Amino acid sequence: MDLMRRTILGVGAISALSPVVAAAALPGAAEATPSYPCISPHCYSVEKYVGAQGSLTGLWFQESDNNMSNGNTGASPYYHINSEGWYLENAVGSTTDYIEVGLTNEYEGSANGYVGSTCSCLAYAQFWADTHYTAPGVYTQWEHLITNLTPDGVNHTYQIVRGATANHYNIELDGNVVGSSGATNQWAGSQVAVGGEYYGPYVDWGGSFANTFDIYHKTYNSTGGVEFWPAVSGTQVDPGFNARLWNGNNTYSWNMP
Amino acid sequence: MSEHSMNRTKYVIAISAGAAITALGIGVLATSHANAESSPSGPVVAAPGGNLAGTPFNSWREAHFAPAQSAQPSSSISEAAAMTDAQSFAQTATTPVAPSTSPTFAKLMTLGAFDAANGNSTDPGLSPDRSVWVVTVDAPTAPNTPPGMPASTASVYTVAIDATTGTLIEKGIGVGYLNS
Repeated sequence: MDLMRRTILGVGAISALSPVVAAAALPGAAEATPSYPCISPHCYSVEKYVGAQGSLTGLWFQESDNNMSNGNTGASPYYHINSEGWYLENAVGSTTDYIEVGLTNEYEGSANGYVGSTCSCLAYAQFWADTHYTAPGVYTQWEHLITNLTPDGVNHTYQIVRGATANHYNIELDGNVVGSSGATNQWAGSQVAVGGEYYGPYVDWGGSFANTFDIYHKTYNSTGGVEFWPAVSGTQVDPGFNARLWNGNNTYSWNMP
Repeated sequence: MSEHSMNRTKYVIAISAGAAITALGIGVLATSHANAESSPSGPVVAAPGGNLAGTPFNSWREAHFAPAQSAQPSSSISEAAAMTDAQSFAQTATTPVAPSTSPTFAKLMTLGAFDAANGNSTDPGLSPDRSVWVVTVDAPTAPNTPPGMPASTASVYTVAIDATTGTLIEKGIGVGYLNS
């Protein structure tokens, strides 16, 4: 447990302009950067890598279907809690295209919700999405349901990797292609992140929680080779989250107590 | 205090149309979560790109959805229900359900035709012949954002709802596919 770093911050001022910070760190030893307030209404506990443009061509990670809740229990807004990975064409900016894949637990709407059926309840699912910008503030984002499942603790692998078509990426679950994205319009990226995301008024709203997700991760380098997380990494641990780093073991762990 | 004891033993009742999918044999490639929790050396994992053992992937994925519908328009979900559903999908932490007076346009078509018209590939395992209600709603909604990116709001979105089950298969935020 000595490797566990807990960062519980007071509620800071909300800043919509918080920059992305990639803290320098020794190879294989990501350093915490616990100075982020939530960028309302999004809060995160993530590890990220920001490299040179074109230094990455994909993301691979493994995580278990663990319990998490956005605290939403009824007819209230569409909050969600996710454990996922992001692959970005470049450092976060006003026109950064990106692809994401992972787990979500969110409120399912009235008659037929985001993940189907008529439960009007929280629903747990695997999803992927991509976002393409044509100008600052002008974008399209496509969300795709992969499947519903129960939080049974089973491990699954996810990856975003070059596909057969130029400038398209395959989104894969357990080695099987579940989607194809051309949102980035190129076969090169520079930033990846894995971790948890909460979307709602505040992270301890109505009993939200997440058990520990251990996300074992790798990247695809500029030549398509698989390698462990690059040396320069940073973390973002917003108020209400915890993070634990398995230094040297390429695993980022997060939870929401 | 151990990690486990700090984790509250709360359980989400994850009810969904596809909950039974786990019984259909989603393959397990790697070791248990407990291993990842207890071992400082990290979990042992399968190599990237490994294939799903057991049940063919498309079989379990297809099983999640209702049988693929023919290309002939058919639906057990009414147009009005699809439009009402689509309006509810506007709701986010920062945007409300779209008012019933919001301009809303619906069309019954195949998933493949909808994807092609929007420059997308139909996800493997989903039949392009599936009938879907495509509904465009002119109302604000918010997209997902990656860490570090400020939240934003789009003024229009389009959804593809399975015409048989009501499952929302795709949501295009910032997409105004239908305008009449």
